[in-house]
Amino acid sequence: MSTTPDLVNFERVAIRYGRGPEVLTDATLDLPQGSFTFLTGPSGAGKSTLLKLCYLSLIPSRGHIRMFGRDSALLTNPERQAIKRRIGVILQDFHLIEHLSVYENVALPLRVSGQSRSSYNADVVELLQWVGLGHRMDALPPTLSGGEKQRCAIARAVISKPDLLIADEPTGNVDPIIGKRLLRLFAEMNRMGATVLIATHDMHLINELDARVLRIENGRVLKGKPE
Amino acid sequence: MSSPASSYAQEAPLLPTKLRNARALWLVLIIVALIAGCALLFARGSMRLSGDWQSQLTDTLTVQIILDNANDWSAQTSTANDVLSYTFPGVDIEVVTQEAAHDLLRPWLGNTVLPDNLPVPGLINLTGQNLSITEAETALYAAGITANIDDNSRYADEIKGTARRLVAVGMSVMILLLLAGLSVNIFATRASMTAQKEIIRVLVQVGASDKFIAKLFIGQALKRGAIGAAIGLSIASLLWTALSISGDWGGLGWSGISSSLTDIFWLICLGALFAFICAGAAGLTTTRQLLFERKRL
Repeated sequence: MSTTPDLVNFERVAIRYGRGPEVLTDATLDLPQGSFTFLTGPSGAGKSTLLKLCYLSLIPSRGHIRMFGRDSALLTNPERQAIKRRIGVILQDFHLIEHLSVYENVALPLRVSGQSRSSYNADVVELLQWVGLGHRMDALPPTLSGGEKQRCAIARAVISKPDLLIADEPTGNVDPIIGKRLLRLFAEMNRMGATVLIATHDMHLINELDARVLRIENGRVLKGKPE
Repeated sequence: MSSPASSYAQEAPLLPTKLRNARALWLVLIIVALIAGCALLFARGSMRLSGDWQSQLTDTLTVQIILDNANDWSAQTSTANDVLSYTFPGVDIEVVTQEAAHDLLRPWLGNTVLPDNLPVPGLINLTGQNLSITEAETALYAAGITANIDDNSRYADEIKGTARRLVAVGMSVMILLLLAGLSVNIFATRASMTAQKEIIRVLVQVGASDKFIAKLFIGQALKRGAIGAAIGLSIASLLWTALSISGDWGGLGWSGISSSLTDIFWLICLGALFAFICAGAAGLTTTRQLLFERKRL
């Protein structure tokens, strides 16, 4: 039996939007510290909702969520914000700030945490070069291609070396070569100690790594690849 | 190509600086500051004018010598003049001539030729400091002169009351305009937060605290308020200078460097208050709105 503490722990979690039906009905899962997990399931199954619960953007209707050993329902605002700073998030629609350059977008988590520009400048530049955006540092997001936006979002998520990295279809808009490169980045982050949770439809991506796979079916979280 | 470290020396503002519809907001803030500045200058002018008039009146006495016989006019006024000169040395004493005293009666008696033997009272105006009705009465009585003495206190009180009301009107208008500025900024901050919802979402997602986000909006509102106040109050100062030079507003305008500098100091204080109100409105609105959004989760 593993003795690694869980970074994320869901216990019979359910959630509904407004008065609609429950998207998740009885989700129980754990993400051990340092694990690499793929989350899969059909469209509309609740993958994005589960990720939102993981990065504290939603509150469950029922059940308990423990993040970094703390009950999420009992977190104060500063505690919640401190935990959010330990999570890197990559979303399907990127959420880049349009009037900020690629460089500024990537540096945002460090800036928000109060670091000075001189302390993070070299890291940001190096990471941007690594994800292939070294020549687009001054570009504004509206001028980027879908793949470039995605790489920018990924760079922003990993720049602060988060303890938990959550990605929603991270390779959806990039070509297979860049996709493999990004997967290597996630694997590298994982080797350095980050817990990684990736939601994806892409079975090729899942097959690239020997990682744990969870799937959502009928509002529940099950282990293993879909049949 | 310059090195990355020098390329990114400046942090870009997290909120966009150029917003649609911002011109209308600027115009409103400038107009509010302009009218508030004029209201302040009006109140200050009223206070100054009232003070000038009161000091003029408190330094004057009007002695009205009661004559039984018109022929005694010269002797009585001359004696009274000597007595008053002795009692109040260094004071400016003006004896109103008999013709001038007759002229003062014309509004009541019309332009008819007044008889020479009409016992028109002898009038003496005293202007100076430390004038006392009691001392004047005692000295004149000792010299055998019957006189009514008026220190103009009734007029001074009326002027004081009127000035107080004018100041209250000016200050009320100014306070109402500051409240209007507060409301405009609450509305503008709400609109700005709605327009920049996506940015706020990203900031929350990367772990920005409410304080961090509120500071962005406070900074924006403070800048907006300070610039709006600077422009509006500068126009108010120019307007007041023009009115003072033209002389159309009499004592309400600036009579010299001293009064203008004091008023400009108060205008700067008003500008600072205006900017502070703008920032406060933004801070309160942002904090409340973020709290409300969190409760809605």
